[in-house]
Amino acid sequence: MQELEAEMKSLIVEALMLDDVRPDEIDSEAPLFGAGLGLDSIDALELAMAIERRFGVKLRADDPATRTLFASVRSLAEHVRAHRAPAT
Amino acid sequence: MSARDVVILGAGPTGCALGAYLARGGARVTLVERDAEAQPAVGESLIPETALVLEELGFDVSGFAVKRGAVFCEAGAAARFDFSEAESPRYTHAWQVPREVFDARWRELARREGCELVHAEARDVDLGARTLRTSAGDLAAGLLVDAGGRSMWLSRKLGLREGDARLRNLAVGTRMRGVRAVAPDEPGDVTLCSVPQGWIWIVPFGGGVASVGAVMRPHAAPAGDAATRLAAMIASSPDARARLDGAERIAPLRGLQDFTASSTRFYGDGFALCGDAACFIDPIFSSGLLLGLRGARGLAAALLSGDLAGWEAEYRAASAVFRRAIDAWYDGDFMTLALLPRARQKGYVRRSVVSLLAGDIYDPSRRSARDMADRMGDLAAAVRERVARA
Repeated sequence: MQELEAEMKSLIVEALMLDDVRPDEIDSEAPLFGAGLGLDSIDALELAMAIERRFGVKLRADDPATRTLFASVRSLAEHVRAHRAPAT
Repeated sequence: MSARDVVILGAGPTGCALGAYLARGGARVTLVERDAEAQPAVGESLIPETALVLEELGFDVSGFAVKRGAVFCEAGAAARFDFSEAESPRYTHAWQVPREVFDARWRELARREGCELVHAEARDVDLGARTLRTSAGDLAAGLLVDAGGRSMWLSRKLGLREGDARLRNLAVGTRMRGVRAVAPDEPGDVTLCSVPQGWIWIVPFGGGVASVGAVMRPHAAPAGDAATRLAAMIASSPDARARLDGAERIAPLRGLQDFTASSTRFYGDGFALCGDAACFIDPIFSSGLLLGLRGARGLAAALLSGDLAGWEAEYRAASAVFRRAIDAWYDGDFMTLALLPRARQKGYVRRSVVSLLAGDIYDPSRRSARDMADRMGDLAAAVRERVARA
C-alpha cells in the first residue's frame, strides 16, 4: 500500500506538472484540494485521466461520490487498490 | 497488362507525396492534373507534424516563412502558443506556404522520384475495367486514387460523399500586402481572430504579404458579395483591424462553402481516396495538409502491407481528433482555455493544447493532443465554473 501511495504521489506531481513539489513531500493524509496541495476541479479532471491511464481504474471527476475519493493520496490509493485489474 | 500500377488524380501535395512514396516502393505512377500550372489555394499554413513527410521525401522548404507559433485573439485579448511548448516535440516549427510555390515544388519532387505527370481532366471512370477516362484519353492502372481535393470527384461519382449538417460554414479568402504583425505575434506566426460570426485567418508569408480570409457561420454571415463579406468580417474584429488596416488586396477573392464533408468509404475494389478528396474538415486548426500528407504516407505503406482497413481507421481517427477540437472551437471552449491569463493557465493544459496545434496525433504512445481534443469541453466547463464562483 505504501508503494502504491508513493506511486500515486509521483503520478500527481508528473501529471499536474507540480514543478515545485517533490513527491515525498506530499502527506498521504493531507487534503489534495484547497488548503492541502491546492488542487482544483480542473486538476481533478487531469488526475482522473492519469489514474485511469496508469492503473486502468475509471474515476468520474464530476461525480459527487468521487469527491471523497480525491480527499487524500491515501483515499485515492485505496480506491485504486480495490478496483484495479488483478495483476497478470 | 497496363503500363502503370497506379493512377493518381490530382498533382497537389497529397497526390505528389503519395506518388513519390509509391515510386520509391517501385510502383509505376501516373499523376493526372487539370491545371498546367500550380494554382493559389486556400490552406497555406502547415503545422509541425507535417514535417515528418517533408523530411522523409526531401522536400525543399527554402524560402518559406518559418512558423513557430499560433496567436488566437478575441475582442482585443490575445494568446500566443509556441510549438516548442508541446509535449516533447519532435518538430518545433512549420512553414507558411504560398500554394502556387508549394504545389509547384511538389510536382517537381514527384517527377524527380519518377512519377509521370499528365495534364488532363478526368471525365469518367470505369472501375471494372480499371480505367480512368480523361480529356487526354483512357488511362488504365491497377489502382485509381483520387487525391484531387475538395471537389471529391470520385467520392461523388461513386455516391460515397456525405456532407456535415452541423458545419455548413462559408469562407472567403484572398492575399493582401501591407499586413502588420502586432504583439504578441512573432514573425511567421499564424493569427486567428475569433468574432461572433466566425473567425478570420492571417497567414504571413514575409514582407507584409499574407493570406487573409474569413470563415462565417451560415446563420451569421454578413450579407453581400465576397468582398463585402470579408470586409465586414475584418471590420467586426479589432484584432484583425489592428493587423490589416491599410493593407490592400493583391489577389482575387476565392469563396468556399459547405466544405465539411466526408466519404462513407475511403477505399474499395480498384480505388482509394486520399486528402480532401476523402474528407475535408473546417480549417481552423490548419489540419488539412497534415491529414493529406500523413494520409498519403499511410496509404503508400498500406498498399504494400495490404492493410487498407487499418489505414482508413487511422485516417478517420486523425480527422476525428480535429473534428472534436473544431466543435470545441465553435462552442467557444477553445478560446475559454486559450484566453485564460497565463498565471492561471495550467501547464499541462497548455502543453496539450500546443501538442494538438502541432498535430501530434499519430503516435499511439503520445496522448496529449488526442486527450485535449476529447476533453476540451470538460476543461472549459470547469474553468467557467471556477470563474463564475470567483
